[in-house]
Amino acid sequence: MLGALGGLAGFGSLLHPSIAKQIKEKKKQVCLIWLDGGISQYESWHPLPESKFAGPFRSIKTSIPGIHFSELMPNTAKIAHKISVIRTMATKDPNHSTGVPRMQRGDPLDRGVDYPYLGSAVAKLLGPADPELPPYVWIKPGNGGFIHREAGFLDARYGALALGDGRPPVHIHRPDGVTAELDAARNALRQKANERFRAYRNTSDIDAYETSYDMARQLMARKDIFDDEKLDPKDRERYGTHPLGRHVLQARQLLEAGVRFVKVNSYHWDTHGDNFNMSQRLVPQADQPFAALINDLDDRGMLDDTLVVMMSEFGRTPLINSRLGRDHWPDCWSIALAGCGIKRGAIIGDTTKDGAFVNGEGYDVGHLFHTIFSVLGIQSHRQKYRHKGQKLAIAHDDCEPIKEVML
Amino acid sequence: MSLVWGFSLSGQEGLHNRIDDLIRFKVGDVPFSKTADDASFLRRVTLDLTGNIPTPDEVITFLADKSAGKRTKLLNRLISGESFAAHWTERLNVMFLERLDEGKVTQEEWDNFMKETLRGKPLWDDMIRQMIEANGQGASRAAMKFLGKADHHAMTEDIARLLLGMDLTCAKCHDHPSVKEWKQAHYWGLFAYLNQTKQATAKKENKVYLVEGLSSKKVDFESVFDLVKMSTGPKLPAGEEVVIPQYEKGEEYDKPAADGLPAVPKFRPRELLATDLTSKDNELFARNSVNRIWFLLMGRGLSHPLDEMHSKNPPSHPKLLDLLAREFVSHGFDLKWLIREIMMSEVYQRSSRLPNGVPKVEPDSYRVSLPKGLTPEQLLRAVLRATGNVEWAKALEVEPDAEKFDRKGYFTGSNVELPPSLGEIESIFIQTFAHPPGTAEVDFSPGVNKSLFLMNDRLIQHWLKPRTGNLIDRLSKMDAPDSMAKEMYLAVLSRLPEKEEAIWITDYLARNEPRRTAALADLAWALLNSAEFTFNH
Amino acid sequence: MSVPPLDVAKAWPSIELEHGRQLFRAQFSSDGRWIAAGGQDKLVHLWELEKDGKKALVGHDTWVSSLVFHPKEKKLFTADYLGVIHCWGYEKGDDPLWTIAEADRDNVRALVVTADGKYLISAGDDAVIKVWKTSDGKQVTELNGHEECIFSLALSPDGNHLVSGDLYGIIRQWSIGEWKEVRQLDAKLLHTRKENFIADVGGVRSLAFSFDGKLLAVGGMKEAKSNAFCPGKPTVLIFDWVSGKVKNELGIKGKSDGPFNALRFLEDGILAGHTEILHSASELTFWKVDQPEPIHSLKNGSGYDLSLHPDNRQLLVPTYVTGGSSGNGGRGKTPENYLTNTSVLRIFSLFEQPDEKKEG
Repeated sequence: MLGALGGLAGFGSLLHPSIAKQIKEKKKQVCLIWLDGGISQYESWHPLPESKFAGPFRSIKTSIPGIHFSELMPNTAKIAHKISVIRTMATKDPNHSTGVPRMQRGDPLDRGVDYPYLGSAVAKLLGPADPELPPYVWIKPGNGGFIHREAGFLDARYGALALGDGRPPVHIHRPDGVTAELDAARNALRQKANERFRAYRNTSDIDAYETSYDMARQLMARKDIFDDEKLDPKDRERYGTHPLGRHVLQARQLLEAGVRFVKVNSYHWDTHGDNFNMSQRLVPQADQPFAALINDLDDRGMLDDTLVVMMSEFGRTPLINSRLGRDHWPDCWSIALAGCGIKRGAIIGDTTKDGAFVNGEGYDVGHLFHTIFSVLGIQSHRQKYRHKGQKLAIAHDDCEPIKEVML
Repeated sequence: MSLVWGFSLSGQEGLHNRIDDLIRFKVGDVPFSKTADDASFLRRVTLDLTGNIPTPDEVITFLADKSAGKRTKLLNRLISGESFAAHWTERLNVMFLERLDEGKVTQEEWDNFMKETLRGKPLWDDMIRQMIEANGQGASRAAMKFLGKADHHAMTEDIARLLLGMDLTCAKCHDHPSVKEWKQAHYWGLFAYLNQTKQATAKKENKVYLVEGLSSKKVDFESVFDLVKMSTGPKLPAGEEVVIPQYEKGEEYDKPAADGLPAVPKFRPRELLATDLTSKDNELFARNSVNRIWFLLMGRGLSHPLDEMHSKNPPSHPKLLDLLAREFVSHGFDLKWLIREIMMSEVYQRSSRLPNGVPKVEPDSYRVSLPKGLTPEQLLRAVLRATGNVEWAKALEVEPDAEKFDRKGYFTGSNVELPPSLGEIESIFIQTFAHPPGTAEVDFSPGVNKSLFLMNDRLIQHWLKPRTGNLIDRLSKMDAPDSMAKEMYLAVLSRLPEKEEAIWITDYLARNEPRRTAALADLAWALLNSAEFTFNH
Repeated sequence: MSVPPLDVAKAWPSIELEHGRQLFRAQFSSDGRWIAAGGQDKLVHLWELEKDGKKALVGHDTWVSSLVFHPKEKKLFTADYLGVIHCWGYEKGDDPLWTIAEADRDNVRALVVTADGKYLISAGDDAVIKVWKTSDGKQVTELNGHEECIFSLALSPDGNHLVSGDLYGIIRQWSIGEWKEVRQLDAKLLHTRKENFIADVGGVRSLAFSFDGKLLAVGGMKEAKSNAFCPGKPTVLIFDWVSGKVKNELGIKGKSDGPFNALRFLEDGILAGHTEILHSASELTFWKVDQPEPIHSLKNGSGYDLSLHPDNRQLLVPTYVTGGSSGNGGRGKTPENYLTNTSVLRIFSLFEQPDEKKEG
């Protein structure tokens, strides 16, 4: 069925030979849930109702004595002992347009290149977890497609296969009237034509072309992993039938199938106006599927090898503005992590009493990336990319992994 | 004729001969691929000059033509044709605008300007000078689209990359870490030509212009590494720093502010840049220009990647690059002249099949022709022509009050209709096959979504169903499998089938006799999805 | 002292009561001698106007979300985001007279008291209207029907009907006494949920009857652009009470992008409304309601409530005041100088400013 590359065809060709042996070992996987716009830390992981900056919602006890989350996160509160939360992210950039790429690229020292987004980086550094599946899948509202841009200076093949509203590319389905046998027959004809063309020719571009067909056919053959008809209705209820709920459940499906890195995006969290009415409705949309995912991964014995991160590009201002909203606040905000190599129940970060500022240094995105790479078994300082003769760091040289949340 | 090296150097005049000499000279006495056969040559030049594959009739005619110099005649005819202007407008569009639609000049206005320029005798330096000068007047008004919305940093980076072959993006913050000759001062020297440019609207005629504010002092910058403060006036890389004239207050302007446009300063650095950068003496410009034109025809720059023209990335053929640059300048940057000369060379006309007995050659030796991927626009035109659906596409008409076609739904599966217009079909192909706007389209980049599209898209299936006069229709009306093979190969691959190929087509049709028409479609589908179709080889 | 003639075009801010935290609700008492206000600091603040007296009542554990004075007795009812309602004898003691611990599972967004003083009516997040006895806080009944959170309540001047407005722009009319739903009015224009929103935006944020009961003004915003910034076009719908149909749609002069938080009819049929805006100046707006354009508007900071003094000549607006750190990021602020935003209770006198006051 596959092209002329022998063992490592299609998506398998993204595996660096030296890490091909990892296929046999327990695979590390990643799920990044990206709440675009900035979830308010006061209305989620760091409520502080006594603070002069607090909103009107209660704080509730979590499964960790002495730790409270907002009442808007009741499900996460119940599983606080399974996750870690960093409450002292301090990340400088208060803008979406620069802050989003900065947070997703990890902001290594600027060497005049576009660094890959985290998913592409992991696709490159670890390769696909299953050589028949794409290493990086992105579930998002809106349009799908193949997003080269996230690969940055890496080869475009490390980009994201984006599923618009969680749906696979429509072209993953054989056209009406084309049976599997017919498809195989006509692909055999195609390959025969290619064989003849390859003869007496330099083959590297032809190889790349054939690889893309192999990948395409692998996706077609495994399209069931994208088929959400197969999901248990009870699961749908547990995760929630709203878009983020559906998409996180689909992410679980992809992780179970063996996709290395799944990113799930939710948009419109940038509540400059009516923050409290909006948070009341938005935060539970993240809380419910996040907790369901952690529990399901745990039940399936996958939590120790799957890293889950939920975050935005910054938090929201302690000050409440004239539209009863909160503006951007990169100075002191929260993210949640769980799973592979992450401590259970480490809720860390010392802030001022009112929660507005970090006491001490705080963690920038460079620290976060060192942490993520380290727990995935990547040497975050020693490992380099090679690009146009330069050796490039994979994370900011001056930062270190955040030991307080690591096992 | 010199026999010193055991092979002949032509010793003849004509740039194309000297190109071949230098290519041969570089590698010495090793086998080269033969000249491409007529069919391959025809397909290649038709794609390169008109953006489409030849029709079966054109292939037959060209193969049958026994006249001398038929290749040169073909070149001349295609270069002076209207399709050349249209196609090279597309190619230069992608090269200079990178599919961004910014600024106040419309895409259509820019296209018309480029087409007009390319119809006649386009002079490359003139064209680019107009793009930077961007005075917004007259026939060349649309040229200002190159500068987009006048973002200073974007303009600096684009001019450095696209017009000088220098990717100076990282030099904004520090000297390039590995390329010694690319300094932060180069970035800011270029920036200083551009940082007074901005958009302004002439109220009465309601038109936007790119105006310049008063430039009276150098630009300050410092490296993030050593925090030493530096400054520069406008300065081209390898050029002299322009001394910024200081005028008495009140004397700085040529024309006062009027009608919403600001006062016109006497010192206009961007205007200077337009002439300085495109000057005959600017070697960097000449070298980058010929490098990019060479790339468009040969599939690879002599200096590759195209924006890495520096000492750590020497060109594969330094003498050849120099020669081309010199000759281009001395011929007044005559674009069509250069294209013709390159296409008349053996190196251009070389086959893409390796020399006998040679398993592999280095791409930058040019011992074999390098395949190029079809552009999204070429691909669509080629698929329509190959499957015989050009008339069908042209005949598509949208009802005046029809609902807007749901393109998003087309890609998610909720819209199961066929696109109602050629314009919509083009947009679908571009969305699938083009690079995202703002990125260079240089190297061949296959992708999973592209392959899925060509295999499974309903347009492809639709075009392979018989419809009056289209390929499958013509094939299904034939009797002899041999004729079918010939017609199919002429239409899709623009050549005659080899004996073996005719045999396996006959075999396949025989095995699928009860479903002959569908089997013909299977074969056509296979050829459309084959590497031979997708490459310009 | 005779009451000067009503002239909104000459309205001027006559009294300003500053407060160090943000206040979202403020009302005059029915005799006009007191002001009660509540908001972010959980306290119920009271000003005794003639005596320049001021006190703060402790009892709520979170933001005060709504408050209303008893029309006859010296009682004040306040509610909060946890669904607690307190009844205060505000002139005398500092402790609540009675408390309803769970009037709503969450936020009690609106409170009204019937004109006869018998019933306190509350509504909020759980979409159920509850009727309580003002004497002891015991529940009388509840009114079901709304499907989403209720933002506003109003009582018809004839005392016979209650109207309630929700997030979806549905207004329900209920009969007082029989406590049955009578009719629904359509203000769905004030609700937006575009395809890419992940929450509903807007709602019927304010309701006000004209003095003669013939018109119902409904305030909110239309055409919200997002559920993030939530900017929209502040809009008032004027319903003909008899027919239940919209007679007019009113807009603003300025650039405010938030909903009409409060509306009040004045005795001559002029309508006053206040809205809010992000990081800029908002306005207090006046209309003759048969015209969509305001007859007058006064620049003011964002305002969250409106109360009409019983003398019909003063409007009270709890108004946003910036603490000086608006916008994104800390930008060099430290814990010491990063200060909360504050409020001013601004009273606008709706008549020509007397000369002696102008000089001063």
